[in-house]
Amino acid sequence: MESWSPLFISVKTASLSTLITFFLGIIVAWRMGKSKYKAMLDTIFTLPMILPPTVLGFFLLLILGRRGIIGSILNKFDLNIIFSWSATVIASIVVSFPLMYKTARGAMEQIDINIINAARTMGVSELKIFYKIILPLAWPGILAGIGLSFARALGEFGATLMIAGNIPGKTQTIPIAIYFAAEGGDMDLAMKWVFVVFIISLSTMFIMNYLSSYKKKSTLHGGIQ
Amino acid sequence: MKIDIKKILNEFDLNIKFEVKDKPIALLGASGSGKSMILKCISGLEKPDMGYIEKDGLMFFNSSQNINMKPKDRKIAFIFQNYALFPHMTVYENIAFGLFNKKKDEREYIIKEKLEKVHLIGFEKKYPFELSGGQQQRVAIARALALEPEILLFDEPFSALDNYTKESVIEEIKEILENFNGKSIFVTHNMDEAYELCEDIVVINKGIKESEGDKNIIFQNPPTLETAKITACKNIEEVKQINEDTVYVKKWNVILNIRKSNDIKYIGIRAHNIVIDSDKKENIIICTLEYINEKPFEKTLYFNPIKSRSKELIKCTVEKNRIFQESDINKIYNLYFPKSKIFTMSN
Repeated sequence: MESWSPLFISVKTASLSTLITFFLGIIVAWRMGKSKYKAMLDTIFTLPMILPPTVLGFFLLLILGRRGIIGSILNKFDLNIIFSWSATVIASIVVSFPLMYKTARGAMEQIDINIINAARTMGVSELKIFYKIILPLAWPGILAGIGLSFARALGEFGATLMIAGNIPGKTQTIPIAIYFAAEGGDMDLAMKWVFVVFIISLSTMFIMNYLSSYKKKSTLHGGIQ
Repeated sequence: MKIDIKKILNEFDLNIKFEVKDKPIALLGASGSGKSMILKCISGLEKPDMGYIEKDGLMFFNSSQNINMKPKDRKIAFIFQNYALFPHMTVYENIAFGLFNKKKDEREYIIKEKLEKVHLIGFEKKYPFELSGGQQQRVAIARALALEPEILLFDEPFSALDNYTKESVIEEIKEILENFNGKSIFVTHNMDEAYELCEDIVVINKGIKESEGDKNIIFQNPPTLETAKITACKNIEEVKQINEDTVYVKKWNVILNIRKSNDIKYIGIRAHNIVIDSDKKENIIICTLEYINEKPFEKTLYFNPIKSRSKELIKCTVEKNRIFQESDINKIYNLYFPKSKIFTMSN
C-alpha cells in the first residue's frame, strides 16, 4: 500500500467532526425543546439528512467559495477553506449533524417531563438540570448518535469531493481514495481501502453496542453517578 | 392564598377562582378537566394568560402588573403521580439535589430527618428502581419536604399505588400535613382520597369551578349535576317541579316529595340511602328487582319502577350480608326515598 494518509485523514476528519457535532447536536437538541419555532427549526436541521450530499456540497461551495458570504470575508484575511483539510471537516459536520441532533432530541423527548418539572421547582438552574438530569438520562441515545455521526462522517463522499476535492495527503479521505482507485483501475488498492473501512465501521459499531449495553446494565443495577 | 386565573387550552378554557385557607384543599375533577394545569400555574411551570396568584400578600403571578415569579422562588414542592424521582440518582442524591446551597452537615441533617419522617432510614443508597411504588412516593415526599416549602402541591399522588399501599401512604401524608404549616392542594379524580385528606373541596369541570365548599356539604348535597356525577351519585334524574315540595320524576314516572326548594331540574339520591322494603307511607316507589351486581363487600341492586316508561333503573347498594339472590329477581319491592336524603339541583 502506497501511503496510509487517507486512513489518517479520514480518522482525523471523522473524529474532529464528531466532536463538533456532539456539542452542536446536544446543545441544539436541548435548546430546541424551548423554542417557539420548533417545527420550522427541526425541518431545517434535518434537511442535510434528506438532501443529496452533492446538493449540500453545492450550497457549501456557494457559501464558502471566494464570492460566497463567508468565503469572501475569509478571503480578506487570506484564508481559503475550499480544497483544504478544513473543508473535509465542514462537509462531514454538515452531513452528520442531523444524525446527532435527531437521536439526541429523541432521547431527550423520552424523558418524563415531570422529572424535569420536579427539578425546576427545586430551584435548580436550567443549565444544571441539563447536565445533571437531561444529559445522563438521554445518554444512551446520545451515545447512539455519536456512533451514527462518526460512521456517517467516515463514509462522507459527495459533499467532501465537491468542496475539498481529491488532494492526496491533504483532503483525500478513504471513500475518495476508493473511488479514484477503482476509477483508475487499481482494484487491489480499492479493495484494501474497502477492507479498512469495513474494519473501522465494524469496530465502531461493536464499541457503541458494548458501551450502550454496559450503560443499560449500570442504570438497571445502579452504577452510574 | 388566592387564585384567580384564565388560560386558553386546546380543548377548553381554564377559568378558575378559589381560595386556599390553612386546611388542605382538594381539586376534584374527572381526568382532563384541567386540574393539573391549575397546579402547574400555581407552581410557575405554566403561565396563565390572565389573572393573579397571590399568597400572603406576595404576588406569584399578576398579568396586569406583569409579575411572573420563577418556580424556584415560589417556595413550593410538587408531588407527582409517577413520583418523578431522578432515576439515575440514589435516594440520598434525590433529596440532596434541591439542597445544593446548604452546608454539608446541614444537608445531611435535613435528609436524615426527612427520611425518618417517611420511615425510610437505611434506604439512602438505594436507587428508585430498587424500591416499591409506595417507597418511591415516600422518597418523593421526603424530597419535597426537604425543600422546606410553604406550599405542597399533590398531583394525583396515589393513582399509581395499589389500594393497600395507598392506605398507608395516605396515613403518612395525613400525619405530615398535621405538622405542616403551609398550604396544601391535592388534585385528584378520586372522591375517597379527596374526602379522606381534605376539608374543603373544589369541584372542577372542563376548566371551570363547578362547586366548592365543605366536603360534607359537597358530598351530601351536591349543588350541581356535574358535582353529583363526580361524587359518584348513582341515581340522578331529570324532574319536572310540581310545587315547592313535590317533583315529577320523568323517567320513573313517579311523584316524590322533597325538601322545599325552587327551580329544580334534577334530583339525586345516593344508592345506599334508599331503603328497601319499607313500610313508610310517603315517597314509596314500587319496583321489580331486575338484576344484582356483586362486588367484594356490597351488592348493587337494579330496580325497575313498575310505572316506569323507560329503561332507567334505580340503583341501590346494600351490604353483602343482606340476602338478595338470583331467585329474588322479578319480585316486587317497596323502595323508600327518605325526603332528607334527596338532594336537588337546578343545573
